[in-house]
Order: sequence, then structure tokens, then C-alpha cells
Amino acid sequence: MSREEDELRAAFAAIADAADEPGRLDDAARRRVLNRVETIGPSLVGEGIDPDVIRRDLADLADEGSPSLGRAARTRILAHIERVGPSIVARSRADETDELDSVDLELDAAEFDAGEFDAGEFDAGEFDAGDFDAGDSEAADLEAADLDAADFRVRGFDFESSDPRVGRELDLAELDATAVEAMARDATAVEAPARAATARDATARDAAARDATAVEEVALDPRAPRALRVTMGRRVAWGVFAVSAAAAALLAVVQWLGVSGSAARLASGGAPTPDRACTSLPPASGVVRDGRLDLGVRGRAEVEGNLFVRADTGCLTELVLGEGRVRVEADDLGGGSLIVWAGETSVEVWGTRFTVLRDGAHQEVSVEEGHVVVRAPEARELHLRAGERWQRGQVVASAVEASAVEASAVEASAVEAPGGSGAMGENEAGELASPRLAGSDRPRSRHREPRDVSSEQLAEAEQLWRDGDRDRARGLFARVGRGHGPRAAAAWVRLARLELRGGAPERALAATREQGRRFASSPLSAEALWIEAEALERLGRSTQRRAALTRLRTAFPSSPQGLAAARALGDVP
Amino acid sequence: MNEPPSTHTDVNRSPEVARHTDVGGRRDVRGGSLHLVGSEEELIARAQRGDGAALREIAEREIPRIERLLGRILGPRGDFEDLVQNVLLEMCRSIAGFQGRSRFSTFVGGITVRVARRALRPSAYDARRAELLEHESLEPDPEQVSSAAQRLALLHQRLDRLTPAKRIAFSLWALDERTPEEIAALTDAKVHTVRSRIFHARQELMHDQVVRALLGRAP
Repeated sequence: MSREEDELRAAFAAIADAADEPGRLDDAARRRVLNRVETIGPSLVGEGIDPDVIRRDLADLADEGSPSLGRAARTRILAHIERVGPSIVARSRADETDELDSVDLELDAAEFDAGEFDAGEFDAGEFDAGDFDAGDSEAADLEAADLDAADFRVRGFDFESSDPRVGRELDLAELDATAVEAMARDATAVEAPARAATARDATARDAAARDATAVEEVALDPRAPRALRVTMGRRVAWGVFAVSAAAAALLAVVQWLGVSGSAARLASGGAPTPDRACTSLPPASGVVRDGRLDLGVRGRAEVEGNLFVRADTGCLTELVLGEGRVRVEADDLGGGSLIVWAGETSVEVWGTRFTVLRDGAHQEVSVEEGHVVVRAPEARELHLRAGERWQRGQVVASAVEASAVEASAVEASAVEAPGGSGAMGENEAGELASPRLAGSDRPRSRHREPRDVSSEQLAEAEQLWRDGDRDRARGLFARVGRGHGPRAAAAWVRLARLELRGGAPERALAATREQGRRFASSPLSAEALWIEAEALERLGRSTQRRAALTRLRTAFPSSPQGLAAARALGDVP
Repeated sequence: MNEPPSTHTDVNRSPEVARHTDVGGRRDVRGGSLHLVGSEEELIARAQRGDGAALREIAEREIPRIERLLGRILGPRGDFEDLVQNVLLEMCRSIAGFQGRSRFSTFVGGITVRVARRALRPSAYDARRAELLEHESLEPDPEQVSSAAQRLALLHQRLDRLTPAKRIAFSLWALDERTPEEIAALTDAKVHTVRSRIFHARQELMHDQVVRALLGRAP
């Protein structure tokens, strides 16, 4: 390096040092100066370490130690994406194009009334909702004849039919706006260009009409022994707005069902398509609101809210819950599949009685008898059995974590539950120590066992501990903890407990810290925090203990640990 | 790390990586850069229609890039697999809206950064971050950690102290060797802002004795 360079470096360094001097410049000015120095002489700041050197060294380090997925994990993820991806894409497309609500579907009464409905052509985008009163008209005003040759165009959603029988579908579907939305969500999953093309195709139109008739016959004929009968709970008055939207959506669904089997599969997304022989049901579709649905040999369903029924293949029956609750009793699936959709969550029925609740984004499944498989986009498969419940949300994975460590954590933590082992009964202590504490209402799921860390390793560590071989148990816990998955998270909690019992609160703290660093969002963090509070108490750090308990109480308020923390906080001097 | 077949150079790969990628075994080098010659557009179109096989194929191509980016930003984590999966699920949610205005890998890179940013912000993480600051003395001695993985884990512990925005900018700049312009594209920020974040992150880290020790520049 030349002398001139040295001098320049020194000059820039002096400027940077002066700017960095505490109290010399306000923060904004300091940043401006340092930024300028950085721009001109980047190697002169950062305490004399050349940024390029920093960058090179750190990049080398990252290259050597960066994490990557194992082959098993990669395969798992790819299979998951292939399975649930299509339904997510379909629903996101539906969300984008779904404009069938009271705001976007704006009708102009001046341009549209029942009298003009036949052969009418209306564009939803041109209508003015302000001019339209739903009370002006009712469904009864619109008869099948009115719909002859109707040409619907609702925000790019084209459908034409000259078959009057299609119009009679309106009698079947006593829809309300929410149901329309649910139906449209499915209908609009069909790709627009294909839809437009098929709508213009005469053959497809005929097919759609045939299917419409089939739907109608199946849905309305109570004598059909295996028919899918839609029994409506109540009759709803209709406005032209709702009817037109419903008609467009329903007719499109009918068309879609009739001419686009692949589209139906697209919309059903990751739902397993049965490839086995089954007792077939006739194709059918319809909407139920606050009613009872007879699923023929499949069983029955009670609906509070609205539900769209789709049975487009003989073996697959899908119930799409728009909003509300559906309780399903499935007696004999006859080799077919019954799937309940609530948003992006699917519940595959395996001969059981269960309830699905959908309230906006909130989705919940509870099983009374038998067995269902729940699939949500952000989670892996969950197998729920009798007495188990699942809620969709950020804590989906907690079910996994809970089941993975349930047995061991309960057993061990019971001894050192808050208040000491003598202060509460074993059951109470066990409940307190259970990792499903992160929400006392969380499900106990029999989720697929994680593969990254074997259960044998964790069990072996537990056994070593029980046998008194703490050193080997400690090593094995730490090794398991460096893996992935819920068992790894559990290993750190167990190690912390081991250390605490072994009279090493500092080590216990290190283990809980490691658990938090590696598995920050794990529900086991509640247990880790509790152990941490215990360790801090033993170390006499009352301020830090109070802080830990406060965090525990705040982060996991409904958990046993959180409740215990709240109690303990009252005792802290 | 194996890189997936891809179709063009973009901001989501380091130059080194880009040099070694091709399209389904074919490579088309024009003026020193790779151009779209494969059927990526068709693949994306199929995926946008909800084709599961296409989504899987795209995921297969993108996973190495996602791994690399997440690894650089977040370091080793217990929920690494979940995060990779989250990126791909987010990609499924967003792919219908992809209009080809940017390169697809940039699109996925942006999603990856968003997922990483979210992963840096859960409340439990914040609580833990405070804990890390509290129990500094319990951290391993950087002089005694020898393996690259340990050193990297230690580095990420120190990066935990930065704000998420600074951490992401610094990680992409230092660990993934991206330019501020590339980082700005991925993080949807201005280049000047990115430069500022990098600068201040570096300032903070260079005052950190553990980081200096990791770099072999202990005082």
C-alpha cells in the first residue's frame, strides 16, 4: 500500500472516529457522515477490517456450514406440494376472481329486471347496487321461462344456455349471498379461457344441460333410493341481485361439472381421488342452508350455515362448507370417499361421526367416533380419532410436538411441577408439565411420527437417565436435540430437566436457551420457560425469574405453566 | 450444494451458481448470460392452472435456491424444513398472480425473504432474543468452537441481535455475496436503504468481540 493510500486511510478513519464520538453529533448527522465515509472509503470503517475481507470470510463460513434438507425431508415436502398445491392455487385463483359479493356485483335496476331477464345480457360491472333493492323481487318472480337463452356475464364469467331446464335449477338452489360466494369460489376455479371456449361449444352446452337435468332430478327426487337429496331447512326470499348471481354461479358450476372433469379435480385439489371400486352415487350438486343432507349410502349431514355439495364422480362426494358448522355421520362409505372442505382445509372421512366448523379463517374439526384425516396447507396430515379436536391456526404444528413428547415430558416434569412435588397431586403435576400446555385446548394428535430424529434415540436417552447414566443420557439428549423435528425440541427440554434435577441450574439454563434458539416457536417453549424459571430461582436470580415467569404468563396464558406462572408471580417477593 | 436446473441468470443466485446452471441439460449462453430456452414458461402456466406435477417440478427446481437463501439469512434452525415448505406453499398461493414481469426465481426469492422475515419476528423469538442478551456469559467461547457448523451457529446467534431488516440485508450481502441492488430487489427496499442497513449491521457486528474473534480479529 502506498504512503498516499495510508494517509488517506488515516484521514478517513479520523473522520469516522470523530463522527462516531459519543455526543459529538446527533444520530442523524452521525449516520450521514459515516455513510459518506462508507461510500468513499469503505475499507476505513468497521474498526479497520476491510468489508471485502469480512464478506469473504463470512461467505466461506456460510458455504461450509449452511443447512440443507435431507433427502427424506425433501421428498416429504415435494409430495406435500404436489398434493395440496393444486387446491391452494385453485383457491387463490378463486379469491382473485371472485367478485360475487354485494359490493362488487353491482346491479342496475334500470337495465335489469325480471321482465328483461329472458334473452337479457347483463354485465355485472355495469350495474349499480345503489339502484337495486333486493326487496323488489323474489325468487318466485323468476320462473324457468325467464331464464331461457339467458346470457350471463359476471365479471368475465361467461355462460350461455338456451335450454330452459337449466333455468329451473334456480328452484333447487335456494341460495343466499354467502352460498353464492361459496359456489362461485369453486366455479371460478376453472380456467377462464377454457370456460369461455367450452361455453360456446354446442356439445358442451348440451352436456351441461344434461347434467343440469341430472342434478335436478337427483336432488329433488325423494324417491330415488340412493339419491343425493337436498332437504332445505327454510325458504328464503330472493332479490334479483341474489338470483342473478346465483344463477350465473350455479349454471357455471353445472357447466363446469358437466364439461370439465379435470377442472373439477383441479378445484378439489389435493383431495385423494379414489381409484378403487365403490358403491357409486349419481352425479349431483346443490346447496344446503340450515338443513339436513341425505348422503345416501354415505350417511347424512346436519348443516348450520351453508354447504355446497359436489358429487361429480360416483365415488367422490365433497361437502364444501361455506360458513357455519356441519356435523357428519358417515355409516358406510361403500368404498367411496367423503371429503369435507372448510376453506383450504380438507377432512377425509373414514367412517365416523364428526363436526367441522368454519367461521371465517377459523376452522375446527372435532371427532366423536371413528377416524378422519385433516389436511391443511400449512401442516402435514393429521389423523384425528374419537375425542380429538383440531383448530387451524398458527399452532397447527403444536399437535405434532405435543404427541411427540407427551409421554416422556409428563412423566419427568411431574416431579418438579410448580410448588414442588409435594404441593400437588401427580395428575395435576402431570397436566402442568404436559407440553400441550401451550394451549390447553389443543388437540392431542396422532400425527405421523417425525423421521428426522428417531423415537428410539429419545427413548434410549430416557432409559439411560432412568438407569442413572446421566453423562451418556446428557450426550444423547444433546445429539438428538441437534436434529430436526419435535423430538429434537423435546430433547432440550428433557436435558434441561435432567440438569436441573442433577443440581446444575446453569446447565439447565443453557439447555433451555438452546431449545429456544433452535425451536423458538415450539409450544414446548412454555415448559422450557418454566424450567428456566425454576433454574433461576435456584440460582437466586429473582429478577430474572420474575421476567421469565412474566414472559411465560404472557406468551402462554392458557397453558398450565402459564397459569402456574401467574400463581407463582404472586409469591415472588 | 446442488443447484436446480434453471433458465436464466437472476438476482436470486450468486454468479458462481448461475455459471453452473442449465435448462434440462441444455445451456444457452448469449453474451455471457443464460437466457430462457426451456419450457419454464409452460411449466409455470401449468402450475398456474393448478397442475400438481408442475408445482412439484417447480418446487424441486426451487428448493436448493430456497435452502440456500433461508440458510444464509437464518442459519441452522430446528424448523428449517417447515420454513422451506412454507415458502413453497406461499409460492402456490401467489403463483396465479405471477405475470412474468420479473424472473421467476426472483419472485420465489422475494417470497423466501418474506418467510424468513416472518420467522425472525415471532414473539417467542423476541423473548428468546432478550434472553440471549441476558445470558451472554453462557455462550460458548468462540475460540473453542472449531467446526464450521458451530462457528456458523455462533455467528447466527450474534446476528440474532440485529433487527430483522438489518440482519436480512447483512446476511444476503455478507453470507450470500449479493450486491445491494440484488438485495433491494429481493427485499423490496431502496438500494440506499439496503446500503445503510448493511453499513449499520457491520458497524454493530464489528463492535462485537465474538464476531471479531470468529473472523480471527480478536483484540
